[in-house]
Formats: sequence, C-alpha cells, structure tokens
Amino acid sequence: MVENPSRNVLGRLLSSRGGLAGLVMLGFLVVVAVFAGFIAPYSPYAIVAQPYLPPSLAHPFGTDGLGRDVFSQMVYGTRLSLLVGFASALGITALGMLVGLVSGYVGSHVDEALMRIVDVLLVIPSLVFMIFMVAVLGPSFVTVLSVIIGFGWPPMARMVRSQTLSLKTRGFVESSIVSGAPTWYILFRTILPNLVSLVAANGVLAVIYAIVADASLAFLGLGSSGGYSWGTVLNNAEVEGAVYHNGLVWVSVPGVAIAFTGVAITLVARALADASGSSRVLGA
Amino acid sequence: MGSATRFLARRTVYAVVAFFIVQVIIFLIPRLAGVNPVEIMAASQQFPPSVAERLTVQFGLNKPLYLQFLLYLKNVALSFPPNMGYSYEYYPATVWSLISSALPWTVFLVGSSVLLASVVGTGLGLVAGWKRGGLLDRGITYIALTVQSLPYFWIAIMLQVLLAVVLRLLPVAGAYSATDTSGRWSPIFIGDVLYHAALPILTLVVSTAPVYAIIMRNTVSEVMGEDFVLVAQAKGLKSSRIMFDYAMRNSLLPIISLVAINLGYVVGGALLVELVFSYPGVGTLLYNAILGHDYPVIQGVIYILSLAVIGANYLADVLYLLADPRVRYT
Amino acid sequence: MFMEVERLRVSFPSVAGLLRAVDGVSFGVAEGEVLGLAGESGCGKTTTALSLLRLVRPPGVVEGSIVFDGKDIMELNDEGLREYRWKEVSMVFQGAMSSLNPVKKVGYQLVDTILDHTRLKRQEAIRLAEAALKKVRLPEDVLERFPHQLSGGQKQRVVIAMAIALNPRLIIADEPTTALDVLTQEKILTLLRDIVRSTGSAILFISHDLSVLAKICDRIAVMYMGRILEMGRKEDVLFSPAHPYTKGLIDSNITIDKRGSLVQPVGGSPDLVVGDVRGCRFNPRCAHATPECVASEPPRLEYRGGRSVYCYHPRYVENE
Repeated sequence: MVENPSRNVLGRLLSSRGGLAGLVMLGFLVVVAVFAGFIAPYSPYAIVAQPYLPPSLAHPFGTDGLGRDVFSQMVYGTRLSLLVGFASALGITALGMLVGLVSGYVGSHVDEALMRIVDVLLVIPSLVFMIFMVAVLGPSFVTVLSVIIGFGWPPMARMVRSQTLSLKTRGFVESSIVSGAPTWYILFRTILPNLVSLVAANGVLAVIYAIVADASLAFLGLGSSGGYSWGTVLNNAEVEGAVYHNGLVWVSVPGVAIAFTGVAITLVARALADASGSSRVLGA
Repeated sequence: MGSATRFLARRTVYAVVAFFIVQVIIFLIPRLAGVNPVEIMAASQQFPPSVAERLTVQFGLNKPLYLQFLLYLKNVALSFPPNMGYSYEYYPATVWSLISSALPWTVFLVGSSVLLASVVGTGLGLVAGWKRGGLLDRGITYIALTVQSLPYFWIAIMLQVLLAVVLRLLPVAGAYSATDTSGRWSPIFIGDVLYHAALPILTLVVSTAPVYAIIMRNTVSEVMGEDFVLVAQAKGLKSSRIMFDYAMRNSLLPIISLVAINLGYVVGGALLVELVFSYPGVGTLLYNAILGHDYPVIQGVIYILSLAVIGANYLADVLYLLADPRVRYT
Repeated sequence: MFMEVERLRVSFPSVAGLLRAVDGVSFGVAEGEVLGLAGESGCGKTTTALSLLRLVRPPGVVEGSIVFDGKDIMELNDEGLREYRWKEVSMVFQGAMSSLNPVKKVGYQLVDTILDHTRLKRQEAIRLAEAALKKVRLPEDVLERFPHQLSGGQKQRVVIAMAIALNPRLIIADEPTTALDVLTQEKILTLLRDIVRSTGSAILFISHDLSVLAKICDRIAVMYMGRILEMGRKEDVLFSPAHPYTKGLIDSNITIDKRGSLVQPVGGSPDLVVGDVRGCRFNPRCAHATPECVASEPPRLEYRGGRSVYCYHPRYVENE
C-alpha cells in the first residue's frame, strides 16, 4: 500500500469488465456532447416542423409543442447536462476532500466545527433549498452550480474524514509523522494516494447526483437560463402537455438518457470501489 | 441513562441550531437578491406612492436589518399560527392560509409513501440479503440501482403516461373530482381521494423504495455473517424465525436513521411529483409562487418544509435511542 | 459408537489453489464419552466440528461420510437436517460473547429452539429452559436479561444451557474455556463433567490446551494440518504418546514437575495445506522423518485399547 496505489487504480478500472463498459458508455456521451454541432441536425431553439409530430426518420424523437426537433434538443442537452454534472462533481470532490482531510488530520476543535456544519447541511432538505436559492437569486449557470456543490460536498467530506482518521493511525503514516515530514507531504504524499480510488468512486457518483439535481431544477424552469439540458426538455414536455399529445417518446427520452448515464456511472464507481479493496465504500 | 441523555441533549442542540440557520438563510437570501416587496407589488398592482409608503412601513422595511430579522423570527417561529405575512399574488390572503390549506395534501402524500416505501423496500431488502448472491438478490439489486438514479419527476411522468393516459386506469391529475358534491369525510369522497392519490403515491414509493432495499440488503447480508446467526442455524431454528428474529431485528436500526435522512429528499421529490399531477399541495403552491415572484409564499413554504424535515430527523434520533435495547437497558 | 465419521474432507477453493482444511479425518464417538480433539490453531478442529452439523458455508466443499445412528447426515434433506441439528447434536461455539442475539432476551433464545423442535406449549418450554439454567447454576431471572447485561462467565453458562436444553446425544464444545480465567475455567469444567454424568450426553471437547483436555476427556485425538495423527485413551496418549508430534506437544507444556529442565518447543510451524500434498504432514518438523515419510501417507496402525496412530515410526508403544 505504500508504493503509489493510484497507478493501480486506473489499471484495475480498465481491466474490470464493468468498469470498461461504464467508461465506454460515458465516452459515448462525451463524444455526443463535444460534437453536438455536427450530430444534431437543427438548433434546439429553431422551429422546424409541425408541433407534436411522432418520431420519424427526419425527427427521431419527434417534435415538441412549438415544432422544435427533440432529437437536437437532446443532443445539445447532453452538453449542458454533462458539463453541470462533471463540473459539480469536480467542485464537490475538491471541497469535500479538502474539508475531510483537514478535519480528519487536524482533529479537535477544527474537526468539531467542520462536522457541525456538515451535520446542519445534511439535515436541511437539499432540493427544497436549492429551489429556494435558485428561484430567488435567479437561475444561471453559476447559481445552479453553486447550490449543487453547496449541498453535495458534505457526504464526500464525511467519507474522506473517516478514511483519513483510519489512515492516520496506520504505520506508514505514523512513521512519516515521527520522522518529521512536513504536513503537506504527509497529506499529499502518504494519505492522499490511498484515498484515490475511494474518492474517485464517490466523485463519480456525484456526477449523477448533480445531473439529477440540475434536471430537477430545470424541470421547474430554474435551469441555467437560456441553456438546454435534459431537464429542460422534460420541462417543455410538461409545460407543453406532451402527455396529452401522444408524446410518449418525447417524454421518455430524457429519463432514459439520465438512466443510461446513471448505469454508466454506477459501473465505473463500482469498479473503482472494488479497486480500493474495502467493502464499506460508497458513502455519497 | 447517562450516555443516552447526553446524546439526546446534543441532538436537540443540533436541531435548534439547524433551525436557526435555516431561518437566517430564508430571511437573508431574498434581501441579498435585492428583493423589495413593495416594488414587486407595485409592479403587478399599480398603486400610488402614498400607498407604497404605507406598505413599506407596514412591512417594517424601513427598520434596520437585524430588527427586521428579530421581528421575522418572532412572527414566524414564536407565534401560532405563524404570521408569515401576506401573499403578493393573492393579497389580502395570508401566506399561512394558503399554506395551511395545501399542507394536508402534501403531508398525506409524503406520509403514506414513506410508510409504504419503507415497508416494501425493507421487505425486498430482507429477502435479497437473506441469500446473498442468489437470484432474488441479484434481481432486486440491479433493479433498485437502476431505478435509484432516475429522477422522481420522470418516473411520475412515465407512470402518468402509462397508467393514466394510455391505460386509463387512474386519473391524470388532481386530488379529487371537481364534480363531487358529497360531504367532507364521506366514504365516497375518501375513495375518490385515494383514487386520485394512487399515482402520486405510487411514484414516490417506486422512487424511494430502492434506497431502503439496498441499505437493508447490505445490512442483512452483514448480519447473516455474524456468529449468532450461525448459532441460530446450528440450533435448527425454522427459517422464518431466523429471518425475522435474528436477521431482520438486527438490521432495522440503520433503517430508522435512513427514514430520517431520506425525508429531506422525499419532500423535495414530492414537490416535483405534485407538479406533474397538479396535486394541490405545497409543491404546486411553491411552483406558482416562483413563477409569480411571490416571495412571502416561497419563504413560508420553505420554512414549513425545513421545520418538518428537521423535526422528523430529531424524532428519528429519539426513536433510534428507544429501539436499541443496548442503550435502553444500560 | 453412535457417531461415525469416515474420511471427512473439507476444502476451500482459493486463489492459491484448493485449501484442504480437513484432509481425511476418521473417528467415532461412543455414548456418554468425552472425546478430546487437540491441536494447534488452524489445524482443522473447528472445521471438523462444523461439518458434524453441516454448517460449513460455501464455497467450502465437504466430502466423506458422517453417520449418526446409522444415517448419513450428508444425505439429509432440509427438514431432516433442521430436526437433527441441536436435538441430536448441539454445539457450544468458540466465543460465547458473540453467540447470542443482542436484541433478544436470553429467555427467548433458550426457548426458541425448544419451540421449533417440539410440540410443547410456550409455558412448558419455559419450564425446560428454567431447568437448563438450573443445571448450569444460573438464577431464573437471567431469562429476562439481555446478553449485554451478563458477564463473560454468565454468557458462557447461558450458551451451555442452550446446548443442553434439548438433551442431545452429542455436545460439541469448541474451546469453551479459552477466554476465561483459571478459576472460571475450573467451574465450567466441573459443570460439564456433571452434565455428562447426569444426562448421558457425549462431549466432543475441542481445545489446544492439553492440560484442560487431561482433566475432562476419556479419549483424545490429536490433529495436525487437517489430519488426525494419533487417537486413544487419555492415559495412553498423554503418558505414552506414540506419535512424535504428540510427544512434542506434551514436552512443550510447562508443568510444575518439569521445574529446572528446559521446555522443548516443537520447532517450525504448521502450514496451510494447498493442493495435493504427499506424505506425512508432520515430516518437515519431525526429527525422525525418513524418505518414506515424505513420499507417501503413513499407514494407520492399530493397537490394544482402541488406540491408533498414523506414523511410520511410532514410539513408546508395546509391540502387539
């Protein structure tokens, strides 16, 4: 465990069947997001046909209440959904890891104070408050990102903290401390590498949490203003009465996309979790 | 009972602190966003400056911020019924009157679905964890993991489309038929209410049961590996007895905590589900308030919901304490 | 011998190969006798015991025959197995601390097995439980306690009470005195002796501690790396051991009369048996090993008084 375990993590991930499948699925989504301009035949805002058309060759997912192509909306939506997902996950991982490391390593009052904050954040109903804050402060990419990260980091911090606490008492860490290594060295060279796969697993799970949170906000019309995410498509479906106009495909597609992403993420997270070897892993 | 009372005291402090912080956030955020109630009302209701001035004084907006906060606390937290001001949109209706007529519907939805989901989910988890790796286990786990990552409202829409529109088994929306003229608590009315509540409750149950199933399954799996379960099998006890009195009884404690932790998410999800089914609970109220920039109503709803969730968490802490004989009989 | 074990083998597949925890063990238990199973930790004693109740969990594979009253328990169906368990053969597990269900009262745990094995009503079952508690010298109010309210010694007695509640033919006791202080050890041993005398149950007493076995057993079997090396009457095995390993074990025991002379430990340490191993298991540590010991399994040699040894070079035995 003392030699760099992070190298092993990537290797193990790639060699596991589930992990590989998950990565491929995610890769597919990323490609769609990046090349949205080439893949989507129309702009998501352009009115190109009759409204409420059923799926056809020209419009694989049909058209919405105003006559816009749903397929294009979904393709462009991938971009924003993934962006919010990954950006939030990054923020959650960074903030959660920082707090968890500091809390677990320094201990005493700092730990107490930080964990109180975590407890309070965990008890407040997150979606309710996210709705509140975005509604009042105005929907924008930054607001949405901030609230998602703001309510998403506590579970990560908790997990990192408990791992740090248990690692702190391990031989190789104690020997580093005793031999007078500087704090940053201990934190980043001895403790951190052993957290990598656990943090990665939970960080990956944070992506799906963020995508669902964003979709929920978008569903209420509180998504990043002007942006098109999968949730926006569902919002349109709801507002424009897809249910009453045989828009079955239109209504199912965003959920299927989210489920697809969810499965991909779960596969990758499990593979990462297995690579770390411990059984109590997925906290977030 | 020393450690138990200390635990309880700590949880009480947490609950109060959380409540206070919630109040601060609810109070500050609109102020930070530069929300001025009088301006907003003026925009939709067109009145002369003298009326605007009078309203400013009436709302206490000319006082310093901390005084406003204290006034707010007193009105909202320390009086009953809470004085949350007037709705901008439905003036002179008070916020509380709007909330109190919508709240029972939401409580009904959330309450029944938490009850059903915990029972169903825990039951499935018990069966799955009993024979780890078995067919039932793998099936239940895969389904649970997939359903878990689906957004509540999507499940709501799908069920709505499938069961209400396509199959026409259940009503598409609403809490009761508009044409019903029977009395308040008549059996027909109650039947109608249940009929209309079926889809929203089904949605919430389907969305929240997986978490219970997964956690229960993991806990049961762990418990099955414990020594006393091996002893129970050695004792030649009937399978049903081992499953319920040995495996299940030792797996229930985490579930109690789970109900509390989950409640926040269920409440959030219920809001969205109400929207899909046009259910007249606080979710729809909130949505309309957001659209209409009706800040007092928004604040009021958020306050009530936070109070409920914090309270439920606290209750769960107490229940956990009572349920664990190791703590109770020390 | 109401219990006959013939060529018992228990293997566990592992990344390194097939782990043979029990590798060809044969023995019998006679009515009302106390048979000791001695050996170092990891030699397969507990696994052997678990097999007698068919409690070896997958992926463990059990082969061989275990015949109880003429019936091979390996052939029993689920219901038959459930009836056989505890009523005919019960067990006192290693570590009474974790043998009890923490959320149920002690009384419930004594009564549940009675209810599931007989047609007795609840009240009658409670009477039986009270009788069992009396035999282990615990007061009746223990029935109303939860496990965490009892001391270590009390828990041990409760577990024994559980084991005798249905009056089984055989009680397997797996290191029942190991976690206890010497005084409590003595009390428990006396208790067990009384039980054997009054109920006629046989005991399979598992322990690594020869001095404890010496106090309670009628016969002793010595196990090493999954095999029985020597078996016979207590006096024979302990005072004139035939197998070099047995002699080594006895010599490595510290007793008062050895004051002044050096204690002789047995050099080396036992290993896990993985895959197919030829020859006598003990030969790497045996001072008397010869090429044939390494090449093939030693034969079973039988002597007077029901004594058997698996060795090419048995010592200290009068010739037949």
